[in-house]
Amino acid sequence: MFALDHYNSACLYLFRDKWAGLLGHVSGEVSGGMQSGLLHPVSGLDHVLAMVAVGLWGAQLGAPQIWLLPIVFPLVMACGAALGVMGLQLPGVEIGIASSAIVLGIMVLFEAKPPIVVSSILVGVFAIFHGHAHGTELPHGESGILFSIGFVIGTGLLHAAGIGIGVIHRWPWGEKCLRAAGALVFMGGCYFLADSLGWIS
Amino acid sequence: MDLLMRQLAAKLQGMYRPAQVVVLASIIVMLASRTAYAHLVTSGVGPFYDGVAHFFVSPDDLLVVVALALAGGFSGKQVARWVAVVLPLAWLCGMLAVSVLPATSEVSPTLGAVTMLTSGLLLCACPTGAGWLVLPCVAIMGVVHGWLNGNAVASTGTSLLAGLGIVTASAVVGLLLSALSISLTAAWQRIMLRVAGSWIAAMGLLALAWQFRTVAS
Repeated sequence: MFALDHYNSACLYLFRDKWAGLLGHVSGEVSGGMQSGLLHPVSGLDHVLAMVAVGLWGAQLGAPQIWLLPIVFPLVMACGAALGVMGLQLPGVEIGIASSAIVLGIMVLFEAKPPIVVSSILVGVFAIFHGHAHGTELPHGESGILFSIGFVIGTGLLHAAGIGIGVIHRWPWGEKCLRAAGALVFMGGCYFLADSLGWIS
Repeated sequence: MDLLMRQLAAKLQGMYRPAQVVVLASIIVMLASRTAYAHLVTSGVGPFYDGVAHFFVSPDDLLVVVALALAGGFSGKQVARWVAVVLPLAWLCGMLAVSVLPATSEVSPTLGAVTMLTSGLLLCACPTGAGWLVLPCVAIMGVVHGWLNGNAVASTGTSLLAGLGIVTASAVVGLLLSALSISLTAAWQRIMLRVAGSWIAAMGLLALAWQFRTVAS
């Protein structure tokens, strides 16, 4: 692997100014892979709404779901992204993404507390749609490994943001704020569903 | 060995916040960069340090060692001690095996992704005290990565000292992270290790799919 794989040595950007004169074979914008991957999960508001909602819901549910959901979502999302990257088609992806915001918004709005298995499956199913959409949109010419690292970290950070916001759940006013946030996610999901069905021109 | 592991664990606990700062600073520098260089020809400080630097800037090698070392520490002190010994030895054996086994420059990214996926799943899902599972995985993945590194070292005509630098770096990182993992005893810290494993597995899965897209196109 030494010096053969572009992505391996791409991290030399850490020392690019110091070593620029000492290194050969410039390979272009490979370092953009991580940056691109990190920003990709925040490229669509529908994705952001759903992923933050997962964190909010996890915060409402408490342990162990607060930790379990951020494990399930990125892992299953990577499965969906893998399907998309390999060109396998999945019907109704946009509808699935919009539905995820609607359902997760409802869960947060009503502070639903289903069993662990149900919440994990629910989040996992939606994660496939989100992952597939990202997978089909992955830009060509990026470094695969760096893009993957950035993509997973970006997704995880969105969950972390949701969990961080969800900390306010410990206060009575915070519970109401979280429910209001759930209502916003729900409304956003309705908008995106109408858009994906072509009801909004 | 036990004393050494405990001392390392104590020191790492003290270094926790600075380590966070270093990680954050590294990410910021990564994001600020624009141009990358494909081949490490020379760093100007000798082939041994070229190897050390290569290890730290190779995400597939680094993340696999991180996952295996954390999984070793997660499985208990005894397993962590063995990981600190088995990992570099396996890596070295893999490098030495280059003279026997055929070259594989075509599949090295795929193998790297597979080992990343496997090591992430191991950290994410292995039961506590599962040395019987962790140690064979460490040995196999150490050999695979050593072989891939050694293969590339040989094909580029780089000094074997560079390979020794890679092995040394993997040994040091493995030892430090095993000790760190042992020191993380709170429930939330253990769960964070599981989360880290799932993230590494997700990265590996996506990187693996990426390789198939390249093949398809």
